[in-house]
Amino acid sequence: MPKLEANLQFMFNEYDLIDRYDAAARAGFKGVELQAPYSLPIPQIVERLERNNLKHVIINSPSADPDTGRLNISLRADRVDLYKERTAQAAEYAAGLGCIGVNIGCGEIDDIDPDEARATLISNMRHAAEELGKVGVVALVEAINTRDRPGFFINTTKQALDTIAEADHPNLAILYDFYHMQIMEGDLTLTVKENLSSIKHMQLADNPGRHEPGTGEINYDNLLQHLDEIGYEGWVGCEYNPSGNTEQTLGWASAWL
Amino acid sequence: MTKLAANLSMMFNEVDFLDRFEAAAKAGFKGVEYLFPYEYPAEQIKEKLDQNNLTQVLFDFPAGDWDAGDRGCASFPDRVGEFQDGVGKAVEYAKVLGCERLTVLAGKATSGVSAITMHQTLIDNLKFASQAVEDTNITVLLEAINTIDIPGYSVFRTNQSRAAVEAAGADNVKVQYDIYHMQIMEGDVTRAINVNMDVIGHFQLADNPGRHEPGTGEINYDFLLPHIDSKGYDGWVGCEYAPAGDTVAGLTWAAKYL
Repeated sequence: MPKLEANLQFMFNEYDLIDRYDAAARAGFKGVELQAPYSLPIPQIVERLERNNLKHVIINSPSADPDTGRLNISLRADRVDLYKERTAQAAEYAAGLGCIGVNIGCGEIDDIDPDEARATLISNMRHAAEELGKVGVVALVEAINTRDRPGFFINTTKQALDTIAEADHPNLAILYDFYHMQIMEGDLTLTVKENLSSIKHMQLADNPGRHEPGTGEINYDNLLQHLDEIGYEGWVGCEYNPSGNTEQTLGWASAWL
Repeated sequence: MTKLAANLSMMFNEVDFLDRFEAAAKAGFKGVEYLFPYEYPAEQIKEKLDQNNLTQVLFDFPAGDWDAGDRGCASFPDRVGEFQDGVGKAVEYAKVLGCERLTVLAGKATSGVSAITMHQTLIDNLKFASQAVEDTNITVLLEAINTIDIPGYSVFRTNQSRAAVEAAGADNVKVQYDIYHMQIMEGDVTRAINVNMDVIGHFQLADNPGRHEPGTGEINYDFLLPHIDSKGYDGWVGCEYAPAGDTVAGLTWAAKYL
């Protein structure tokens, strides 16, 4: 039985951020994820989690460059100190919220020299893996499609695997996003099967449109069942833009919630 | 409304080839396709089509020595004569069978021939085939195929087949878009279909993984087939899949189209 969780950045936008925890629980979710919890104090979120019996599955490490606004400090050699500060902040939140993982970020290559970007990223990945490991949280690396995010540095499963292999730290794993990988490479079922041991979190949305399953070309009824068959025990984050009201477009998930 | 054609090379394997026409018609298909008709006299196949009121939708140009591993010969400079002879043979059959689509198989990459030379040979052969069917209503199709099932196949992405078709530069040369092959090689099939609809002359389908019926894998055909319809496509969609079990028992997914 796949464990679905609600992405509160994308879903339940009908509510204020803090109230989305309640809304997700009311809709039947047992877990949530949120890219950026940093505007909310940890105790305030914890109170909502406890009240609603929710698991906070993952958060993202803050990756915005304060000068450019670009979400790519992990690729910039001149931002290594900032990356470390941000990782510490993410570790504090992840530990406080009881997360299983932190998406440690990558970003667009922009005008950065690719060799420099890669070396910086690898070094940052090791640092994040080490620091997050100290609080029992997995460092997650996600490949993202270059149609939505042109220039995104890690944009295929193979690149994510290669980067993790090069960083060579036991606390690094893949966040596999079906939507991004359907845009970039297809062949979803076999890819997750072959790389299951490297995958510690998944996300979904249909394609095209990034809406709820059933609105596009991906058969999630079969894919989610397949995750059970291959023994995936982690969570699947619903990182999609509901095509209408969040609660009213959850029919696809009723079998799983 | 989606027009499904039964692929008789992969479906209805419960009966001999010539009996598959009747089996397809009984199951509700109005059109059929298959790899090759060349083992049988054209008139014999024509009789089967007529008896069962079936349209011959598509078959492939001769594709080299299949048993020896050939999957087409259209990209090899030393086999242009063979390809051209095959065009003549295919067109003869197509005229008898009333078939309006013939597919070119590009072939596997071979050592000693550069990708550029193969691509150029393919374009020249497409032009030759185009001219050979100039005064008919036949369309010449080029298909990209996944390299897991056919390792080394030289045309394996939509942009490759599109580039060759565009370079051939004739209205009667188009892309055959196989949703199964492209889900394996590149994904993003809805968008690829939208962007390439202007050059697509035929579709084929199967689910992935497994190449079985729609509904057995990761592709949502309940979404895709109406979507293709909504784009104004009025051609055929060939069911080129290996039934997971009995062909007819596995056709529930297609009931609304047959």
